[in-house]
Amino acid sequence: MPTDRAAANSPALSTATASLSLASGIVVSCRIGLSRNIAEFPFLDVCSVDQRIEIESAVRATVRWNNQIKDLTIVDCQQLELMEHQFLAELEAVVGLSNRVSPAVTAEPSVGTESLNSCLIINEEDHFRIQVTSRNADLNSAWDAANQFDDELEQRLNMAFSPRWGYLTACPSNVGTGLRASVVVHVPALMVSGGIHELQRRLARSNVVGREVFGDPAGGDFYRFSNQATLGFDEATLVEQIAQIIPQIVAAESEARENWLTTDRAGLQREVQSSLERLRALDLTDSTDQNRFELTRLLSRVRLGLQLELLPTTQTESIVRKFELIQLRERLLTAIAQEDYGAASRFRDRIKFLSGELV
Amino acid sequence: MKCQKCEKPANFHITDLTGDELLALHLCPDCAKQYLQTEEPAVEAPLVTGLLQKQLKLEQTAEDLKELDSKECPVCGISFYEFRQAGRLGCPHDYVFFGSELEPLLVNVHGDNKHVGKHPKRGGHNTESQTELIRLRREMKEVVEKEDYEKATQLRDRIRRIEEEGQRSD
Repeated sequence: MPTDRAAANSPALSTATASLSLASGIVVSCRIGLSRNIAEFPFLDVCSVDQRIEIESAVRATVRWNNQIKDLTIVDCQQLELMEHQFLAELEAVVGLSNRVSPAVTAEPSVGTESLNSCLIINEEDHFRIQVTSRNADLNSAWDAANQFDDELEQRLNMAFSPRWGYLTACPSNVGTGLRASVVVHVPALMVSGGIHELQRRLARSNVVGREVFGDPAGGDFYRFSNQATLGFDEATLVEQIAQIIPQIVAAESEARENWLTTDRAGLQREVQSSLERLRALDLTDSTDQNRFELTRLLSRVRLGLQLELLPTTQTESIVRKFELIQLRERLLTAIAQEDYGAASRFRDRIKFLSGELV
Repeated sequence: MKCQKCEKPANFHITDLTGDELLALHLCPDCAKQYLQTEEPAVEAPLVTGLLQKQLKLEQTAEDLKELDSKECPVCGISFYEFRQAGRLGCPHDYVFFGSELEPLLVNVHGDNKHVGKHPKRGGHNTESQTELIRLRREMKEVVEKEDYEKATQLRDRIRRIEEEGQRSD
């Protein structure tokens, strides 16, 4: 088992890696997920509605009781339409981190430093999942934060755990650490060159799997790479497995972009320009799968165009407004789920204002 | 026994789990290889159900599997059939109850069979009493549905006693 801990413990190295990755715009976001179940309740498939409510109350009470975590965002999957929420959350990351696309929209981090966003997702596949997203590709800090939340929650909640199998989860594929470390990358050039398949094969050998983020059957340009096994490795090793691949992916995509520009700069220029025009005309409120796939495909091209400086930022301002609306809708849903009606009222007003402007 | 697809001797005995009915197949090595390869090429199929299907296919006869499928966890009531269909377990006790079937699956998924990561700091909580709580709550729900409120009262009081003991020992 690889236990190269030196790299994991070197903050200087991971910061350098992070800034390198962000500069290229290839890394969209990084996150740590920790799946946990409360020992006194069956897993969710078997839970009655009452038991789900009991689980939710137990978790909420624990969070409220503890000063260290009392501001943690709680997302209840029963209240939010799950698919809707996930799609919007991913989309927020895609738009939000391409610095030039969306300077106006700065997310308010709910807990911790500005670079980390933490939330607790209740009643999804397991009783709850601690999720920490890093805005500057720093997986180690995200893991430290998630680990700390876990320790705090554990003071009041008995976690389902066995010394042999570790943290027990509804699906045996998450058992052990219950930890999923992942990175979302934007790899349009590797998709066009076909290099993505070779990359996936290479990474599969080191416990890393890649999946298309938006579930597009035609294959999209946004990929999430995460650890496959959760058992048999300690947490630091799993986090490092993902942290290590980030520079490899960035290097492969950068090279493919260079090649694309060298061989067909004019064609690429036309493509990003026409994608921008089609994106302007797209109805963002249409939430059919087909429309969403189209949206993410176009968004990918526009993002690429901006990063390669084939599109001037001035042309994308109205797009930014449209996406701000989408993000606000997502945050309104979250605020309602958190019972934070003060924030909900501010989001509602802003949505009304922006919708009026766009008409 | 002859292979069902050609004339060669059949030395592979495979149980097909894809349909509603269990199907027993007797094949020669070549036909078996082809049969196992043509199936489940999709990487995206739920990992657990796919791997489990492969594992059971090679290790169980149709009769054995029928018996295994009907095995029910005494704590949460989920059957092995339900687990292998959904790929999700019903309660923590399933890891003990279906332990011998889960072990090869876990090795397959994770390449390992022992947790080496973090342990809860506040260890020592009594797993047995928690399993008991899950079972008693389920039983209470069942008797309430039958309107047997006398039995429900007894069960409720037992649940409360276990809960109180747990709080004292914390």
